[in-house]
Amino acid sequence: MEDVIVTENLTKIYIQDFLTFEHGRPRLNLRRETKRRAALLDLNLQVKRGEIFGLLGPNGAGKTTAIKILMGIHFPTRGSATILDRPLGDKAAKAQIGYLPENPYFYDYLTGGEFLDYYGRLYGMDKARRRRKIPELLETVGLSHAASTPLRGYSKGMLQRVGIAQALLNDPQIVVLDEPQSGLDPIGRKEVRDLILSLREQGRTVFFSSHILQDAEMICDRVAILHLGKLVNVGALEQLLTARIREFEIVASGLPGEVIEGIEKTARRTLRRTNDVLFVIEDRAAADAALERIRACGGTLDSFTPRKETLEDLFLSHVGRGTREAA
Amino acid sequence: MSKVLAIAQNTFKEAIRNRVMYVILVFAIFIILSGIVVKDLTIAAHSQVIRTIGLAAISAVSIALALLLGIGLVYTELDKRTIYTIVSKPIDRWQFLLGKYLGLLLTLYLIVAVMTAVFLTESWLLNRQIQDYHFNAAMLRCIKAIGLGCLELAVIVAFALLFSSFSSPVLSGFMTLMVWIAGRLNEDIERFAEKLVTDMSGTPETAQSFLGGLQFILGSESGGAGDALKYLFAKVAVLVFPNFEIFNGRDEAIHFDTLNEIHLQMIVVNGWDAVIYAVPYTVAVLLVAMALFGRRNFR
Repeated sequence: MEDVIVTENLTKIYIQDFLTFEHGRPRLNLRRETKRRAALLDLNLQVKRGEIFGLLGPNGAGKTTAIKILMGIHFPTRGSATILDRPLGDKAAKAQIGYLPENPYFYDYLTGGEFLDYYGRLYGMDKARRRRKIPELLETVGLSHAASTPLRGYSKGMLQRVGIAQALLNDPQIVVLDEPQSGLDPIGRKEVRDLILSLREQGRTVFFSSHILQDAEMICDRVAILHLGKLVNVGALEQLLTARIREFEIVASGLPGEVIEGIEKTARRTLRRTNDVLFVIEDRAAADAALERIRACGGTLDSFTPRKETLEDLFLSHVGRGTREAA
Repeated sequence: MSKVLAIAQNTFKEAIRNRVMYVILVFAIFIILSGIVVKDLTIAAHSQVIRTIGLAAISAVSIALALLLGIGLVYTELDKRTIYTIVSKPIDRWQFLLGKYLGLLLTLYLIVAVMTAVFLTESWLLNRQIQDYHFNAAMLRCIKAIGLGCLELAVIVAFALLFSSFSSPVLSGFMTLMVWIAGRLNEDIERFAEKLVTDMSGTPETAQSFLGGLQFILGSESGGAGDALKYLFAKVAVLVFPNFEIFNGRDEAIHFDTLNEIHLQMIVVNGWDAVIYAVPYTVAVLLVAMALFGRRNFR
C-alpha cells in the first residue's frame, strides 16, 4: 500500500526562555543543555493509505509536536516529511488534509453554520458546495439543531463535534486528529471511535494521537509508541501484541480462609472483595490447581478469564509503570 | 484573494460583534455633538469650535480603536489557538496577515464613516443658523483631513499588526503607541536636530545632510560628543519612525478661514504626498510582519 505520510529523522528542539518556572520555583536556563529541550528526536514513520494509525505516548512524548510539524504549525529543527508525496506546507497537500487540534477552541462569536462557512472558504470551496456540504456535516456530527447557535453556547463535546465537522469539510484523503477523545464522556468517545471507523470505510487515512489505549487498541490498524520524543515501537497491532496468554483471572466466592491463603501463594495478585476473591495467576499449571481447589472445597467459580497481552501492557513495557499516571 | 477576503470578513465580524467598540463609538458621537454646547462657551467662531472638536474626536477615537483592536489582532488567534486550524488549511501565512489587516482597516473606516456622518450632519444643521460663508470650503477641507487620517490609520494598523505578530498585547500596544507618539513628534525632532546645528552658528542647510551635520557639530568649537550623540539620535529617530504630521490636515481645515495665504501655505498638506508616503510605508511594515510571522512556531 502507498505511503501517504512519511517522516525522515523529524526532529524538534525548542529553545527555552532563559527564565522558566518549575513547581513555582524560578529556573535559569543559561547553559546550552538546559536551554535546549528536545521534543521530538529522529522520528521515522510511514503511514499507509486507508489505515487507521495511532500515535501513542504519555504526556510530553512528542505526539502533538509531531502533528504540529506535519500541519505546518511548527517548523522542524531538522529532518523532513512528505504528505501525499509533497513537502511540508504544500498547499495542494493541505487541501487534502482535515485536522482537529487537541482541545479545540474556535471563534465563539460565530454560529456553527457561520464557522463552517468561513472554514469552507479557506479551503477554497465555492458557495454552492458549501451550502450543500455544511448542513450534511452538521447532520453527521449531530449538530443540525445548533447551526444558528453561537459557538460560545456550545458544550465541550459540541465544540469537539463541530471541530470534527470542520476537519471533514473538504472531503479529505487524510484526517489528522490530535487527542480526539480527550475530555469526552464515554458516549462521546464511542461516537468518535465510530466516526474514525466510518472514515476508514470511506477509504480515508486516519492519523490520530491518543493516550486512551483501550480505544486505540479497538480501532487502530497500526500504532507507533513515542516516549520522551523518541519512537520506541511501531507496527501492526497483531504483530506488536503477542497472541500468548499472559495471565489468568479467577473470580470465586464461598471459599474458606485456608483455601484463599493456599491459592494466594501461587497468585501474582489477590484481591479480597466483599462477596468474592480475585486471583491473578501467571502460570497455567497453578491456575489449573487453583480451579481444582475451588471445586474441592465446595466454593463457587464465578469467572475464569485468560488474558492476552494488551496494548496497555505493551505500552507500559516501553514507557515504564512510573509514567502510567501521566499517560 | 477570496481566502484573504474570507479572513478580512471574519475579522470585521469579530470587531462589530465586540460590544466595547459600540461603547467607544457612542462616546465619540457624544464628544462630537458636545461641540453644540461648547461653542457657546468660547469667543472663537462657532463653526471653528465645531470643526476642532469634531476632527479631534474622530482622530483620537479612530486611533484609540486602532490600538485597542490592532494589538490583539494576531495575539488572540495565537492565544486561543484558532491559528492551528487556519494555518493547516491551504492558505499562506501572509494571506492570513493580509486578511486580518484589511479586516481591521475596513472596520475602522466604517467607524470613521459613521463619525464623519454625525459630524457633517451636525455642522450642516448648525450652518443653517449661522450661515457661514466658508461652509462648503470648510467641509471639503474637513473631509480631506479625515481622509488623511484614514491614511494615518493604515500605517498605525500595519505597525500594530507587526508588533502583535511577535509580542503580547501589552507590549505591542506600548510599542505601537510609542511609534505613534514619535511619528506625531517627527517634525519636532527634525527641528531639534536643526536647532543643534544652528545654535553652533551653522545653517539649517548643514543639518539637512546627515553626515554634514554630524561633521559640523564635531568640528564646531562649542559642539561636543554629547551634542553629536543627541544629533545622531534625533536623525535616526526621524529616519526610523514614520512622520505622522504628513497626515495632519486638521490644522488647515480648522484655521484656513482665519489665516493669511503665507501662513496657510505653511500648514497645508498635499494629499498626494501623503498617499505616496503612506502606501510604501504600509507595504514595507506589512512585509516585515509577514516575514516574521512566516517563520514563527505557534506555541
